[in-house]
Amino acid sequence: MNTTTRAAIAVVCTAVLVATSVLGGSYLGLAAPLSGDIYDTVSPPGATNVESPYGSASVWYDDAGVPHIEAENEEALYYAVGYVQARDRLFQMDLQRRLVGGKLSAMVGNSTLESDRFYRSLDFQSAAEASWQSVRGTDVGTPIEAFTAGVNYYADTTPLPPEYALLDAEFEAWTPTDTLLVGKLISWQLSGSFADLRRSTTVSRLGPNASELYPSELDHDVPIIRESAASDAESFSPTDVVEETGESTANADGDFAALAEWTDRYDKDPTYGSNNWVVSGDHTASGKPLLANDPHLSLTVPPIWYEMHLSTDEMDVRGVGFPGIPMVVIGRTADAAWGVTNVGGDFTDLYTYEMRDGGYVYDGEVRSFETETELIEVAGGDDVELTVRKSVHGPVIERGGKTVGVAWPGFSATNESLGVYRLNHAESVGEIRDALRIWDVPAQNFVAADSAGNTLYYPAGRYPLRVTDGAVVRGDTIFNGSAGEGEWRGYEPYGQSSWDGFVPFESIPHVDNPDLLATANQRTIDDPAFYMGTSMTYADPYRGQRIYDLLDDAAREGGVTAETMKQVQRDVHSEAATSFTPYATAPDAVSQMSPDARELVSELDGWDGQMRADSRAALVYRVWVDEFRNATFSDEFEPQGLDESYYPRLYVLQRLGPDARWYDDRSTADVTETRDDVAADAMNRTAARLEREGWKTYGEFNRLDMNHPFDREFLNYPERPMDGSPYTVFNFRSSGDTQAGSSWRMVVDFSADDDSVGVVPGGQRGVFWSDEYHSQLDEWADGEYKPLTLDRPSGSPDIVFGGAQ
Amino acid sequence: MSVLSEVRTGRRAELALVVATVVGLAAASAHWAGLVVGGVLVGLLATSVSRAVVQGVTFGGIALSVHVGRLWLRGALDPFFETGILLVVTVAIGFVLPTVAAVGTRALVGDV
Repeated sequence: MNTTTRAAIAVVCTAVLVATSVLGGSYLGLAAPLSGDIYDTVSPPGATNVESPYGSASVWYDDAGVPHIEAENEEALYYAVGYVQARDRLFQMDLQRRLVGGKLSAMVGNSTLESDRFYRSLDFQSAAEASWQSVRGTDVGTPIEAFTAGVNYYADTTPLPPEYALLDAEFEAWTPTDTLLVGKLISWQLSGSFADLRRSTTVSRLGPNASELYPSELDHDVPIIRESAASDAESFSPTDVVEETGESTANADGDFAALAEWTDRYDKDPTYGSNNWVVSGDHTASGKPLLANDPHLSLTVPPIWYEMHLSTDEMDVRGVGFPGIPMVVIGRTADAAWGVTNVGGDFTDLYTYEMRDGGYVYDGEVRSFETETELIEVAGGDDVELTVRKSVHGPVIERGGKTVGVAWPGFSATNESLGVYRLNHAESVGEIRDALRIWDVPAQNFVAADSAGNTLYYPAGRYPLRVTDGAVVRGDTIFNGSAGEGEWRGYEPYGQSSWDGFVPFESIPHVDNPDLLATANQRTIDDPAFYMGTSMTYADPYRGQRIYDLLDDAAREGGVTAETMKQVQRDVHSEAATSFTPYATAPDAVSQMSPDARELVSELDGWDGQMRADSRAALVYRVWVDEFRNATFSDEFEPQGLDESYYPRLYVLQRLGPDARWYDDRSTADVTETRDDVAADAMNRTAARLEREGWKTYGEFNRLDMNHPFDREFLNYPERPMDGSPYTVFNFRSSGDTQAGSSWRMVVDFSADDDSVGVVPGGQRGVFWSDEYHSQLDEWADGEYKPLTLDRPSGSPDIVFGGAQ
Repeated sequence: MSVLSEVRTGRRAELALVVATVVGLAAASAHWAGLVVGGVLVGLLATSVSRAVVQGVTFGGIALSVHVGRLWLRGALDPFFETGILLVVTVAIGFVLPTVAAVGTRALVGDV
């Protein structure tokens, strides 16, 4: 080889290396064998010794990756909790606090700018800071500080999760406020609601007849407390707080479409729901109570819940919490257990203002908005300026020329972190009840049981009384803030509320020692003493009805066991399906169907409403009911620019009469369509859609498809067909990009056998290298469980803090 | 005969290649540029440009084998093979950097 050729090769090779390092430097740093940042988080084998300024603690990971932590004191315990949560879920914790703090764009770029604008506008950060000031001097203050130190020690001393390498981002130190910020996010997602904007806009555009689609309550007879007399609430009248009661003052309603559209994606998902129930020892084989809970939330990668078992000489608790929060939110101690579902009440009010001279009219004078200019940092882009405005009611948001103030109890300093801390120490239903006295947001349907045989149902939370001109009024409206309508007394957004004008704790409808009680986000009680919520905030009754039917049957037979509870949680019978199917199979509907549609509808003959993945009938029903709903409402809603998010509850559609005006197709002026016509049209559309999509069974439509926020194949969970629907006890729904369902299933058994169990949809660790990345996914999808006892693994600990042995 | 020529072809040529590989692997464990360093070292020891290709590829293969072995020991081998594009990039970096460095070095230094 001559010199010239060699020189040419040398030059080319050098150029290749230089070009690679300049153009592909980040990929080299990320993925190079042996040194790539993404491989740093592959766990080294063997035990880890960790310094701790708080004392000794030991962590044993079980086969599912659940940490069992024993510590000599609480500070050492929560320091260890911070460390293991960071080890297993650091990126998720960071993402959550950034989401609600409005700082996502600083990490991921301008794709999340609108989200940051929304969360910054509502200033959850200040609300979390107010909560921290409220609780830092209480029993939970030091644990939160120790947890914070544990998180930061992990982040400072070990490689960050692979996501940081993929984003080329850094972790900023965790703070106690961040823990409360995560709590605010969960609370908002469960109880923040802009439903009044959608109802008002719909009525404004479709006319007053549309009000019948949003009744003050759904006309079913399965509220949570089925017999109102069973409530042990102290008698209460709003006039105990104010002078008189009145009706809704709907004089500020109007067209808020732009605001509704903007807020919709941050609103409480109307199909979120949860189940829990408690069965007293009178009906169980062991004579001890049984408790079950499965909260339905977004199914995320990694899962929204993180399971822990925490022990000191003072406490022994196991269950799940949210990453970023050091305590167990749903779980059990040795002698007590509790579970929660969301109270489908109305905890958000909106206020319009008469604007004048750049301010707003209030109490007969012009007031200036409290304003603050913030900079939203955007990765790879310019900072964006945002002016945050607040009125006496709380944050003020504006879109499409409409401005509203937003009131929500969570904007105030709140104590739920202290409440959860006390729950973790409770060893009896009495102690659980005491812990709930300070529960602020989100209002939750607590069911509880203890080994002594006590049970409890308590929908704890802050229930606002809306006051207009000295009278308490309903809250299902948009109030005229300038006229002083719908005021919440004792409420101080971003400050310390006295809650004086809210419903007293003992007057909230509840049941002490219920024999059998189930909640599924339906109406709490008939004719409550105060306004609690509407058909738009409470869930459809289908799940509640089914659970009560199953539990009533089981109680009649007697000898209820933990296995009975699991069978109820696995139930995939849809009350919605059995209610709607007769509409599809009505002879006058079938006679109008195409041959293909008739073939399909024959699948529904004799079908038992079981939403199983291998069922063709379930597929036909599920697609048909979508088409039926669309065919009923789209001709009215679509021309007015209102999409499906404005449609009423499914139960409202079920209860429409066969000749209801909504069935008439507005595009056919000379014909008046009825339910049969719409049902036939919907089945024809179903036939076309099934042909187009090629679906043969329900599982091809109802697929588990849980994706990591980065949506990369190696980060996503395996896909599979699923049983269940939004209206079945075994809860799962796949719709568009949304995957939602049972985010944790738990059964607690106080019998001697302690057949307590739980399972999460995925795995304990958020690091994809881990064996526990999605190790529980199939168990969860198949309705199986793993133990939830207070036993820890034997052998040497996996992590040792402060020199513990 | 120069020192380099002696090392390339002498009695200790194989030992020199082993030492170069170990040094290269150590450097590659600290930074991706270590793969280039390893390639340069094995390239220097190559008796020809074509031999440099073989030694560069071999070094890359050893680096990748060590990488895979380390992942296997830590129970992360299955997820690694499921990473798709990440796996491809890792393998590509593992072979390309040391091979190009080895060839370029051998071509530049020539016979001595």
